[in-house]
Order: sequence, then C-alpha cells, then structure tokens
Amino acid sequence: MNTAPAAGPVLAVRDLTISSGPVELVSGVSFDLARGERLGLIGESGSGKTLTALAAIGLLPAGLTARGQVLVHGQDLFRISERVRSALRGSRVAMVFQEPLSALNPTMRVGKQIAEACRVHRPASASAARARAIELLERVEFPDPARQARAYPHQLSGGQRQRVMLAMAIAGDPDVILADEPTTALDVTVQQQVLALLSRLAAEEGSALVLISHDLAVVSGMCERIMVLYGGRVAESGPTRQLLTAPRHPYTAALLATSAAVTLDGGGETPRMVLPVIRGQVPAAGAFPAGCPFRNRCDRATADCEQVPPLAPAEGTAHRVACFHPVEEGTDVRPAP
Amino acid sequence: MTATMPGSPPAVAIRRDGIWPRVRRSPSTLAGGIIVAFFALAALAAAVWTPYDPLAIAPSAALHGPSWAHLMGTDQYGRDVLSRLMAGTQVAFYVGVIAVAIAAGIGVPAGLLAATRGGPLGEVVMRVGDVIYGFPALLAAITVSAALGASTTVSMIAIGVAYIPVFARVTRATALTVLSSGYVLAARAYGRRPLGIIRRHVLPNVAPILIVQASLLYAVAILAEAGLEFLGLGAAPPAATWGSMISGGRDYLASDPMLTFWPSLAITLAVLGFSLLGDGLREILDPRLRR
Amino acid sequence: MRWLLPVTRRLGILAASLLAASLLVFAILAALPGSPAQVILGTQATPQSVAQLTRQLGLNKPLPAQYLDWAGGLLAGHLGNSYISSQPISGELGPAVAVTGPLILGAIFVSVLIAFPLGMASAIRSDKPSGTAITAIGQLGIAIPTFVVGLLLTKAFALMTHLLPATGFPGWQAGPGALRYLVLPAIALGIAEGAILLRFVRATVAEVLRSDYYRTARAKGLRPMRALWRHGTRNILIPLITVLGLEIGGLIVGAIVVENVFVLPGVGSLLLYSVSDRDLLVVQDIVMLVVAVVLVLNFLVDVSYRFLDPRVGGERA
Repeated sequence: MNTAPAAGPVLAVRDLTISSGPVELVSGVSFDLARGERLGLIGESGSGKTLTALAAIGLLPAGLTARGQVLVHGQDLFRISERVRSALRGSRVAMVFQEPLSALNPTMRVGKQIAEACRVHRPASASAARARAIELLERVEFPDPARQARAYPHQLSGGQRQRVMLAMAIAGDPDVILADEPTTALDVTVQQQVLALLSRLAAEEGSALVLISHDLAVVSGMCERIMVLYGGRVAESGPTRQLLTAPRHPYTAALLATSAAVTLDGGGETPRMVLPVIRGQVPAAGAFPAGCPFRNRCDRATADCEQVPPLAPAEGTAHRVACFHPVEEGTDVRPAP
Repeated sequence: MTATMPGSPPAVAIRRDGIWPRVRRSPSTLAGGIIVAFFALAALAAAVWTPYDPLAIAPSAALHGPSWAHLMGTDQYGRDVLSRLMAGTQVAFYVGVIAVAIAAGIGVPAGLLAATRGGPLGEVVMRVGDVIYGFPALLAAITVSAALGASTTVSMIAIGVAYIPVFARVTRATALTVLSSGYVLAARAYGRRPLGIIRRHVLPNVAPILIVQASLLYAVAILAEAGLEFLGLGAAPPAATWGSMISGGRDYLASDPMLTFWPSLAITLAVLGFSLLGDGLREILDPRLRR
Repeated sequence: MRWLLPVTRRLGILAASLLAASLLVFAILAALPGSPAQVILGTQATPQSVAQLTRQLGLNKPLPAQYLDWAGGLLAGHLGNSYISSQPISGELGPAVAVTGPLILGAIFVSVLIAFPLGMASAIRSDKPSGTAITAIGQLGIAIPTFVVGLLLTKAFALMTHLLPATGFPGWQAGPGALRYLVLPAIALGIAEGAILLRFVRATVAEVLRSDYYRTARAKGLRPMRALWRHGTRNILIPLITVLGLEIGGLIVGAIVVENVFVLPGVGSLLLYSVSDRDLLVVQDIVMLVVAVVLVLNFLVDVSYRFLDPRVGGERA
C-alpha cells in the first residue's frame, strides 16, 4: 500500500515551462492534483498537453529543456537523480500512451511485459509475477487471461492492447495515472469500453487521473475538473460543469460551439446544418503570436492582448481564465453564420 | 519567404536561410573544414616551395632529430621529413580527386539515367551497382596492380570505380524525390524540357549530398592509398608519400619512432578532417531536407 | 513457401555475380603485357624454352579456353599449380587460410567487444561529454590506418615491453601457444573494425532509445540501462550480426595489411608475394576466393533479413 503525505496533492506542477531551444512549447503551466481527483486536459495538437504529461512522469524527450517544478510524492522530478525518478515511475505515477501498438514491445509476449511491470518495484519470483499478470489481465476484462497472456501485441486488437497498457499502468498501484489520448487510436465502439474500464480501475485503486484528449465529450464524462490548453498556456480551468455551461475564455467557448452542429432556421426554407469553425489554424510551434497565443484567431482581441493574460479567478477561485476580455456569462457563443 | 507551392524542392529553403549559421553551429563541420583547409594550403604551398627537395638524399645527414635546419628531422637517407610530408599532401589531394572524379563522373549520370528512365533499366543498373559495391575496393586495387604494375593513378581509379554505386544510388534517390515533387510536375506540365528540369531542379538538390559523399570518399581514398603505399603497391619508391614514409620507417620503429609518427599523424588528421567535414555537412543537410 | 521465389531469385543473382566476377578477374589478369613464362624463365631464356613453357602452362590457348579451364577447375576444386613453384596452389593456400581464418575470427571478437558496450554508452550519454568523447574516439579509430595501429601495438607491447611477439608465426604445429602470435594482429584489426561497428551500434541504440516501447519500459519504472537491455538487445544484436557479415570484405582486406605488418604467413601475405612475383594464377585464385566468400556472405545476410527482422535500417559505409 502506498503511503502519501497526509494531505496535499499527489501531483503538483508549478510554473512548468518546456522549451526547444528558443521556442517555448509549454509556458507557465501550473496545477495541483488531489488524491483521487480526475482532471481533464483539453487541447488540440500543438497545445502542449502531451509534453505536460511527459513532464509529469519525467520522460521528456532529449533535446528539450524544462523549468519549473513537478512534485510527485513530495519530490521535485527535476531535482532528483534518475535512480529516484525511476523508482517513482510506475509506483507513484504511471502513464498510458496513445498508440498501444508501438508502445508495446512487438517481440515480447504481453504477459511478460505486464509481469515486468509487477516486478520492477517489488521483488518477486518470475512465477509470482506471472500469476499477478494473469490476475491483472482478468481485471482489465480479458476473458481468457491465462492463454491471452502468451499473445504477442500484434495478435491482439487495438482495444485489447490498450487494456494491456492499463494493466501495466495499475500494476504498481500508482497514485496518479496519466492517460494521453488513450482512446484516440481506437474504434469508436471500443472507446467507451476502454474509458469505462479506465474509470473503474482508477476508482478501485484510488488513483488520481489526468485524462488528456482533444475531445471535450470524452473528458466531460469522466472528469470533475477541466483544464484547457492552447499554445502551451493554460487558457481556462475549472470545475467541469461550470466550464461547460459557462465558459469564459473565447477559445473554450468556440470549442464548445464547434463540438455541436448548429441548425439554422433558413427563414421558411429547410433548416440547414452548419458546422461552426474557429477561424484560422493552429500555428506551428514557435509561430504563436506574442502575448495571448489565441489573439490572432479571436474576434475579441485588442491591443491589450499583446501582453500575456494572467490566469485569474472568474467565478470564485476554482474557475480561472487567462483572458483580458473573457466571455460574459450567458452570451451566445455560437459564431455568426 | 515568398509563397512557395506545396512540395517545392528544398534547395529554395536552404538558399533563403543561408547555410552559414548552421555551419557555424556544427563543431564537426568546422573542425573538419579547418583541417581540410589546412591541408589544402599545405598542398598548394608544397606545389610551389618546400624547405628541401623531398627526394634529395644526403647520407651524411641521416636520422637527425628535429633541429632548426630540419624541423621534423631527417629520415634514413637524410631526406627532410617536413618536405616529404608536404609533398605527401599533394599526393593525398591528387588521390582524392581521381577517385571522386571517377565515382561521380560515372555514378552521377548513371543515377540520373536510372531515375529518369526508370523501369527495368534502372533496376539493372542498381543491381550491377550492388554487386560492384560488395567487392572490396582495396582488393580491386591490388588485383589491378598485379596486372598493370603498381601505380597510384590506376589504384585510385579502382577505388573510384568501387564507389560509383554509392554516387549512383544517392543521385538516383534524390533525383526521384525531386522529380516527383509538385513543383517539377508543374514545370513539366507547362512544357519545360527534361534537360532544363534536371539542370535547374535536380542538380542543385543533388549537389550538396554529392559534396558530402565526395568528402567521405576522399577520406576513404586517402586511407586506401596510404595502405597501398605501405604495402609497396603505390607510387614508385623514391616518391614522397605518407604511406611509403611509414613503410620506410618500420625498421627504425625502436630507435626513431618519429619517422613513423609524423606521416601517421598526417594521414590520421587528413582522414579525420574529411570524415568530420562530410559527417558534419550531412547532419546539416539531412534534417533540412526531411522537413 | 512464399520465400522460395525471392530466395531463388537472389541465388540466381549470386550465381550471375560470381560468373561476372570471375570473368572480370580473369580479364584483368589476362590483360597484362608480357608473358608469365618469360618472367619465370628470366631475360636470358631462349624463345624456344619460353614457347615450350607457355605451352606447358596452357597459356597459348585462346583466352576463352583458358578461362573455361580455370573456372571449371575452380568449380571442381582444382586450384591449379603455381607458375613459379609448380606446386599445387591448394597446398599453399591451406596453411595460409589456417592463419588468416583465426585472425579474422579474433578480430571480429575484439571488434564486437569494443563496439557493443562503447556504442551503447555513447548513445545513452549522447548529450553528455562522455558520450561525445566516445564518438570522437570512434572517429579517431576509423581515421588511424590499420597498419599504424599495428605498428603502435608492436612498439608498445613487443618492442618496449616484450609481452607479446612482434612479428612472425611459428605455424600451428608448434601447438596452441602459436596463438600468442595472433593476439596483437587480431587486436589491431579488431580496433579498426570496432570503430566502424561503433557508429553502427550507436545509431541502432539511438533508434531504440527513441522508440515508443522503450519509453513505455521507462514509464514502468525501469532504469535506462535495464530498459535498454531487456527491450533493445535483440533489436541491436540482429542488425549487428548482419552488418558483420557485410563487413567480411573489409576484414579480409584489413587482414592483408595486418599480415604484412606482423609478418604472418596468411592469405594476405600469400597474395602480396604472388603479386610481386607475378605468380598470377595464385593471385587469380585468391582474389576469386575472396570475392566468392564476400558474395556468398552478402547473399546469406540478404536472405536472413527476411527471416530475422524486416525493418532493419542503417546505412552502409
């Protein structure tokens, strides 16, 4: 059983800035994750959400520099040795990756890969680990765990592979599970199944969950709190219900609007379905405008927005937005036809 | 940057951004470039002047250590080591020139042919190339020496021939990429003639890669020639080449190791220089092209 | 049996390559001015004796006939007799191979011993000075000519310290102690080859380090070396072995030089003596033998790709 400091977050990210040379890919991201809490991290590709997750487990790719603090179990990942960091991975913070086919070793049977996860932090005999692996396969809903443990990754379906990843993630009883787009690569029909399983496992283990996705629908069903990233910065964060019903950041509002097709009344003619879009495109890394990264796509931008807006409380301290011209409550956020 | 069509050949990007900043940041390229330049200067200098005649024998001055008269000492025949070293620089450059001329002179057109004609002819050319490539270059040089008598030029032709496949393959690959880019397809659509396309689009893109390969081939050629010299299969005896200097110094390894040391250093540095330059340039060019 | 067709095709290419190579070798060596008989008998020889020897050696037959005699003989295992000594060439070649073979094997052992750990270390520490240092040393290893390395080793271990013999080889009949004479040569050859393999190992390891499955292993809490060992070894060893197969040509050529430096009676020395003596049939046979070995090994490597790992990458040279 893992013991954590009596109170306090299981994961605390403070002012995280990740750069590739002169270009900042993530700027000033901060959040705390309480025990058992579920946080959704929303953003399009290029928003820095994956890098933030990798930083939270101390696996940033080589060539990037990071500043700030990432506190896991009271230790700052950036200040400790690799040996200590490795000890934390799997046991305190675990990660599930997006593409399970490439994330699993193609030449090793899945049972052996899970058993390895069991043995990393707790010395055990090979047979004990094997037994535990089969147990875990059962927990992730494999109907014939003993036999399927001997399968190679390419012999399994996408959904099964992702469930193997889930088994490996919970093998060490982690305090935090980071799930980076865990269902994006899967068929739609399987997505719900895997998400439900993830939710159940996290609840059973008492683990906190950071669910990363570009899909608001996925995140809203599972998380109590949502953080929206754009251009490497936190645009808005707050309790799910509040954020979805009363978004304050123009980007969040636009995201919400674009996730629902809008029917327009054509004045007597047959109603048309219009798919609203956010004008412009997500710039490449390093090409975001200075100041507020969203300002070149925002209808509300003014000269003020050339400064970086601070993340300030909106409705009480739980809901925060980084914008000089936040959307007023109740405004119709649907873009004009 | 002006608006470019999707799929434009990368040569445009390189010229716009300039290559100097990237060269400055790459230690291999800089180090390699400096070394090569140094040797090039030495070769040029040697063509005009050396402290002593590299071939002049002076038995009374044999095996002297370094002195003001002879900065690197003299060998067993009284010949000035420094002068011979400088003369050897000329051989080194000459050697590379022949090998690269052969390899590129035949390889590049072959590669272009394979790329433009394509089809079975291209495949056959590449296959033949693979077979040649499998043949150890030095062995070919030795065989040829056996037949025609030892000669630097002939050996270098053999080395060059062994590297034709490399140049052909590299040319073909780049040419194929360029030829299928949107920019070129458009150019052909409005009537540009194939030769013009090759000249304006393919060659500028192939050139940097060829420079990389040429630099690396230079390194190989110098090493190979030194080996042949050492074995006695290179230029005729009195000639001042690094390899033969080492071979000559063998008997004096215990007493006068410096005779062996200086030419060894020269070979190592020269090969290192060209290798670093080639590797460094390759690093600079590669990621750019992939983007 | 899907593999039967591609393998047969490659077998055909192998046969064609061997044929082409034999023609090439024959053509080069038959194209020289002067007659071997003249060289053997010397400048004082009478035209009649020259003509007689020429007939005896079968050198007056038309070229295609000579080629067929030779090539046919090779296939049947007859290497012919030396022009100079009139002894069967196989008698000379046998003992020579008995020296060069172990030399090359020793060199391979040394090279893998150098390249594997150093290549791994330099890939793992690629952003630290120690990694760059290893890379630099590797570059140096490639740049220093093999014979210089040999001479250096001779000086250090034989001349100055008398730990190992400097030159020569007493022959295997002297017992396994003869192995001592192969130690320095194998190391010299192995260092050069090791430097080449080092780059390759480093590139392969770097690829593993960038892979997703390595990242997953790290995410489980495995430390870097352990993760690399448990997940990367197979993906590193297999390409390494295949590259070694392709490098045999380079090793044989290196052996020629090393045998010269250390005065070993191996295939390389035999080749060089024959070249200088103009004992051309021996040269022909040896060159053909080497080419055949290289081509056959290339074929085996090529074919084994299919069975071992289809996605082996890496450039040559």
